[in-house]
Amino acid sequence: MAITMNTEKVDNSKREQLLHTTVSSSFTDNAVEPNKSGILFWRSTTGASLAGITPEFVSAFHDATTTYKGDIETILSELEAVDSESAFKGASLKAALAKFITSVKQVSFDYLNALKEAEDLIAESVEKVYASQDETLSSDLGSDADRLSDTF
Amino acid sequence: MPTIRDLNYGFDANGVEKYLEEIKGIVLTKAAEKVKNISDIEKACNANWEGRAKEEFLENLKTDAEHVSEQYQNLYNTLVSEIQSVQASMANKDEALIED
Repeated sequence: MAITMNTEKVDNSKREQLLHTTVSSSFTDNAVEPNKSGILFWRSTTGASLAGITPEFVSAFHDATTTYKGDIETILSELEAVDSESAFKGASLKAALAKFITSVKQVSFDYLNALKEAEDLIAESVEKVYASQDETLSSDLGSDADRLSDTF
Repeated sequence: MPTIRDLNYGFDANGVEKYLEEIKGIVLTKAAEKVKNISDIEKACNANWEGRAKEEFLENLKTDAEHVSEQYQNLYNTLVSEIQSVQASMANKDEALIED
């Protein structure tokens, strides 16, 4: 039986950008290299003995990632409330602190935005890939059945 | 005697220590641990998605979350280093400002 493997693949290359994002050794420069295009966490592979999703996948996955994102954002918002007035005074120190907070947020938001992009892409693509493969498989089976009929 | 709150420029060593501990608690403890805790996403995937792609996604997510957590540590180390450097510089200038 001929089985045609479909070629749909979710691009994983942008994910490398997150892994290569580094912070500089000073807050006087741009501490975090911008990572605007996001990351894709997922790439399709072959060889699984079982592959597919349930009808609840999209909403369950969305709920879990939304809660995860919200929890991290809530924690990071606490940074704004930390009082530095009892520690030091001076414009340079305040600028360094502001830069630190911005950098932590940028690292986090790049990651969370990329997760959101991945979530959207997975929700959109996974079903399409499996459904498309299902159609291809049934077409392959159909032509095999025709050939078998011809033989007999 | 003035406190740090009355000054235009300066530092309070105890205040700096407390401040850094507070930042550390938020970034390195709460945020980093939350980032690394992907258990709810993992549960949602395991209950509703089967296949090698799922395994790859979760592995990648763990790697990326770990990387973000390391970036937090690097940023915090930089902050501590810079604050200590400014603090030392201020202290040295203060000591040398008026000659005996």
